[in-house]
Amino acid sequence: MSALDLGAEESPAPRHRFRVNGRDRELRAPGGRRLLDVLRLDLGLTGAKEGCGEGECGACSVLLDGEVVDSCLVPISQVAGREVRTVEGLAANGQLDPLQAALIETGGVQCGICTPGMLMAGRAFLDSGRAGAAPTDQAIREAIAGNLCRCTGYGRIIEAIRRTGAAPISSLPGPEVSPHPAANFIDETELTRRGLDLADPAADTPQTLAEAYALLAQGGRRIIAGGTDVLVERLAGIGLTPRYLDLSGLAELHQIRRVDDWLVLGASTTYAELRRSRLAAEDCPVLVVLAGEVGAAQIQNRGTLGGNIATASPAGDSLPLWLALDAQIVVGSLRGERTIPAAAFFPTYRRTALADDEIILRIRVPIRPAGTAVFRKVGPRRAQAISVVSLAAAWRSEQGTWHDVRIALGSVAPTPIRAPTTEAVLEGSRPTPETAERATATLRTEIAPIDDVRSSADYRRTVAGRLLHRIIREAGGW
Amino acid sequence: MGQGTVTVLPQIAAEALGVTAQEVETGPIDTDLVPNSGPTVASRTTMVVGGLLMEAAGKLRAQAEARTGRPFAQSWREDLAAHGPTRVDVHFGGFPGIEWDQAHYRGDAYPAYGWAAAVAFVAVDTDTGQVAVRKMVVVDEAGRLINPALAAGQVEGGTLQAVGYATIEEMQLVEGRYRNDRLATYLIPTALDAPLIETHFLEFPFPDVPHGAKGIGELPMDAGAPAIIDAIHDATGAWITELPATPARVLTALRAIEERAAGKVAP
Repeated sequence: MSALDLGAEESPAPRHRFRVNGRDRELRAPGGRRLLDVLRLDLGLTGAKEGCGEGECGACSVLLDGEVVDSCLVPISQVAGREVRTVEGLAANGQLDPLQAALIETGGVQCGICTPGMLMAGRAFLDSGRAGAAPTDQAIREAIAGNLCRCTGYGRIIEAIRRTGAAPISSLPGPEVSPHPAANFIDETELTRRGLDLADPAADTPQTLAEAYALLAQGGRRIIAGGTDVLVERLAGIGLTPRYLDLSGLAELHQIRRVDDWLVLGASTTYAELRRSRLAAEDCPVLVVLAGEVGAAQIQNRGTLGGNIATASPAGDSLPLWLALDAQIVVGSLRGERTIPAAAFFPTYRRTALADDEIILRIRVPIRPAGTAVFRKVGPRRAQAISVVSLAAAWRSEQGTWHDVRIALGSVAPTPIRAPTTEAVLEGSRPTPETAERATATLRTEIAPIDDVRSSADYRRTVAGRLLHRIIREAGGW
Repeated sequence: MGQGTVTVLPQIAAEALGVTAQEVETGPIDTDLVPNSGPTVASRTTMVVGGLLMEAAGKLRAQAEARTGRPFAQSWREDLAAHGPTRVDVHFGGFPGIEWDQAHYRGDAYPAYGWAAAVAFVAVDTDTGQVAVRKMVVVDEAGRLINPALAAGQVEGGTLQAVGYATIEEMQLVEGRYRNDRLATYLIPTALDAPLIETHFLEFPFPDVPHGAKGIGELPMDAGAPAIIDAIHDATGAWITELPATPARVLTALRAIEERAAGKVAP
């Protein structure tokens, strides 16, 4: 535990200032403390519940600047200067929020564990401007897909959100009337700590790239961006660190631009930002499809493109697409910047081409107006699912013949992979039934998936082939 | 201890006493404080405890009204002031013709049957074997419904659990340990996986309890999975003989049909 003690030796912990339910708060805490712990233990706001602690269940959902997030996956260093809204802040002046009233009216509350998070996800959706006065059943289901409920079957919750859609948008309440006599400033010595035998890591929050490079070069730090992998791994005891290097303050990592014939995506771009990006929709619409396939609202609002690449999971949703799009990954350090093709970025299981002192800066995607790209993911359920097999394909069609064919897959090998032999079969071919049969048979021999908790090797091999078959079938229109 | 106990039991007591449910206060749910009401099984709280409560409330009301000569609702405060608290104990004495051996936990714990029927509408992706349950129409019979909204909520939740049980939920044991022991690996349906659920009730009051109720809690779990498996067969011709109907099992069954059709395997 000596490495972990490093964090604890640093004292005093920094102060964090932010607003909770309209009230200014300030406390001392290591920057790596989870927002959920700050709310429940430090501030006594126990409405947000800890269900899974790893972003699966949504019971800890709160609003961060109006967007729904899993507070178990947010380090407090990323909350400074921001507005947090919890279920305690929904009712104002003794009046329930219309969504709370509707949930009671429809009978959408049973055991109550999911209810605070469900209310916040529903509120975020209704206030987002994307719901409209008459939200569709499908849109509501998508909005709460990151909030598991075991009792109700969801129908009454969906009905409550639908009914509230027509009610006026709730305004932020005035000063919070909390039953908890928590002071504005809380000294760390007064805290009740949860019974986890891990100290909260400290966090550096550089505001410039130069500063971030210098800190990373000193060693002893783990990069954190959206936290949707780092904090999940922490719960499992993986990748423990005394210090985070929190990249959330670096504005240059947080933009989507068009530069010549490239779409350039900052590493801190979230899936939600990608989903709503006009540039992405115009230049590379498959990216919008991808973003909608990742997790659910809470993960899409926090997970970053750079984070998915850095984690380098063979099941990482975005990775096959970068391979199929022939994207480039630009990384930087004190030694300067370098550009690495996506195809060379994932050498072995969960490893990347990054040196220890390098940060992922941006992803460059070539814009190909004449090209087609598709992404298909098969997961064990329809949201919040780690893929069982995923496939991305890109090609350029010239008078019905395919060229520049790139096929990439996830969850079928220790790394995301290209399938060059299958690509060669498709190159210069037309999308006919015969081509589909040959390509599918080739793909099945080209990949070597494994059995694991989510699926079997046999299933993965079969379905990878069928996904490709279907893509060819749809392109060929037969 | 089932969900809704603190709603339904005061409702039953209130009706028997002729007061509003808000006037009934519920004590802590603790078996140390109450007489034995038989085994903790088979969703029987509303039926058994509700029935005992109704009987006790009736006796309490009769005693108080005999003292005051006026309806309980109008006179209970006055009776309380004059006579202090009145305690009525009613003990579970079993049901006629039903034998239960408490020492060995054997026999019939439950004197009546609830009934459930389910119709499932599914879509099967024959490329991936994925089953999407689009709609469930369910009819349940649980005697007289004490609180129809709560009963429907129980049925809807139970029906979705049945959908999970039929399609994605599977405990994987390796040497006696759970391999999928987290919400990230033991998956339950999200709102996007949940079908539309249409709920109907039939009410045949159970005659051996004063309020006519039977249990509802576990009932909706029973018919869902068979209906879904039947619907998969109706859609594809494939019989899934092991739950859940995972994409891998569905694909295997579909391949077997294709191979039989191609004459590779004898039928």
